[in-house]
Amino acid sequence: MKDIKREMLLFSMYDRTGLQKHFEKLAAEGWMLEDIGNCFIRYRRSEPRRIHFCVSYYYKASAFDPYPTEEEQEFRDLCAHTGWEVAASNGKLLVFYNEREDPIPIETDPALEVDAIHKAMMRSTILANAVCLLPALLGLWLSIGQLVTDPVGWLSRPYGSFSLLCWLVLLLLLGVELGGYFLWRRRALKAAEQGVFYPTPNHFPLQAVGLGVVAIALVGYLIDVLLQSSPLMKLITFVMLGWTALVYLGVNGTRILLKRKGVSRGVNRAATLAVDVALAFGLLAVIVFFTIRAAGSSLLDDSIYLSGDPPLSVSDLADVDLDGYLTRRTGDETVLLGQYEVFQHVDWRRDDPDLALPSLEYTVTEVKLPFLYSWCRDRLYHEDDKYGEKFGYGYKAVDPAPWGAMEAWERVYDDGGRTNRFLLCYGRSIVLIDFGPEWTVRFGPDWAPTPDQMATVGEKLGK
Amino acid sequence: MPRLKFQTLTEQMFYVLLCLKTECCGMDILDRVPAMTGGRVSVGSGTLYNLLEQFLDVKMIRETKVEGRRRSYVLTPAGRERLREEYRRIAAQGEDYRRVFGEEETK
Repeated sequence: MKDIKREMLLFSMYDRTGLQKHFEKLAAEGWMLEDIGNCFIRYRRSEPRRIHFCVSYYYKASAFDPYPTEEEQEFRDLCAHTGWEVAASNGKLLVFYNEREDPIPIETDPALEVDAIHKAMMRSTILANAVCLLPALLGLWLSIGQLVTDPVGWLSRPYGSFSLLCWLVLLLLLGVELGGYFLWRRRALKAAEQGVFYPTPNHFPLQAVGLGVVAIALVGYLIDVLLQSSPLMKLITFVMLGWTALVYLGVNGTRILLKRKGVSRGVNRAATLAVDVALAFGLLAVIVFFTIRAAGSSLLDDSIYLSGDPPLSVSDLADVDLDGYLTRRTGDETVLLGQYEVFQHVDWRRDDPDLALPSLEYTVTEVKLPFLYSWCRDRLYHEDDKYGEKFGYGYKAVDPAPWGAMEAWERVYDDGGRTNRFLLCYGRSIVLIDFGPEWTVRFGPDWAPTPDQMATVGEKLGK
Repeated sequence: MPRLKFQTLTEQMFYVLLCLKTECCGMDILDRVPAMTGGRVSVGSGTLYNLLEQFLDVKMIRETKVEGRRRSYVLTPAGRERLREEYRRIAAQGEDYRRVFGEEETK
């Protein structure tokens, strides 16, 4: 039977109501609070006891203090005088327990308590959250920028969906934490005028769901990187992950080690900051080093090659020998969308201009969530509007039946000339197919896909 | 409207200051307040700690000695004056009550 139990710290720092109730419940179940870290709470098995807990805030304390300062110790002594002993502490947060049946609470004036919480919060959590808010907003802005530029591609790339999700969850949690705190403080101050202690809100479920979503997304992202990414992406992803863990362990380890050694608050803070900066710049240096080393090698080709034959090949549409052809098939997939592209053309070293061997390019977008279908179709339809205006072309609706599609458009010049590009909508997939210029060179200037070729495209790519 | 700091004193502030007529430390105050009020008023240790700090800031009390981790305080003339004003305010309230309900009602 294990004697130690750990759980993630999913309470807001100011949630004294939630923390107190939680510790009291666990003590009654035989788990006594032993330590509060930045991420985890540790309990030790004990006799089940009905004891009181009180979460208090001592704003002058610091997470870098090797031991309680004289002033903090005076505060602890006062609390001990009324039976309150420290169970655990983390920086400005002190958790006391009291075995007396009906002890005098540590805080008996709600206005002073709100004031003490505010002083502690402004010097710790609020400051840290406000600092995090800036990169979170920047990250979300960059993700949204990429989403607007190439929405279908971005949402079909695991990293795109993963980063967008992470930034959204982070912003939501920061917003709830900051907004929730100031809302609570406003209400608590009002209640304090009437001498009432206002309970703190509990964001435990939201934090748990948010972190759970990010953890699942991270696992999904890593599996995808392992299975589908290029060697360079694999390397970068795992170096970044490993280094992030190293930065976290290095920074916290330094702080804890120096605390145990009894190093003063100021020295500890400076040393921890130095380690943090050194590791962060180290990470940058490692990435630059690997990128330079990888330059010129195949590592830098970050295309994600899919194995197997492409679903539609030039040889399915024309009587050509694929010998001498290069086929590049790349793709990405998320739970929202999948997108793969096939480029099939003759190796220029073997190309013979007289033969005009036809090339083929197509992109198939598979929409997994039906509500995204019309949005994806519209985005693909308008994808090259900018160039359309410049070069004078646009889409014209054509009969979808020969393609076996639900809707079909052909991109044509303003004067009616063909560009050999078609946008085809099937039940779940949207196909953008380009027949290269060699088709008209080889089969004449009036060449257009024959009904048989259209049917083949529909049969091979339509889903 | 939030109350201006120490413009009126809460019951706990009043009794903490009252205890400091003579020099005493925090722990003494924690014991004296319930004893003085027959258990009707108690001051929490966190509340007392913050109150002492704030009274020191506005010079209503002053530190007299430090023995180990035990600090003693005593009321300053400013604190004494503030306490007197509060007494007058409370007394005036009592007077008003008596005027409205008569002497009999106060028994």
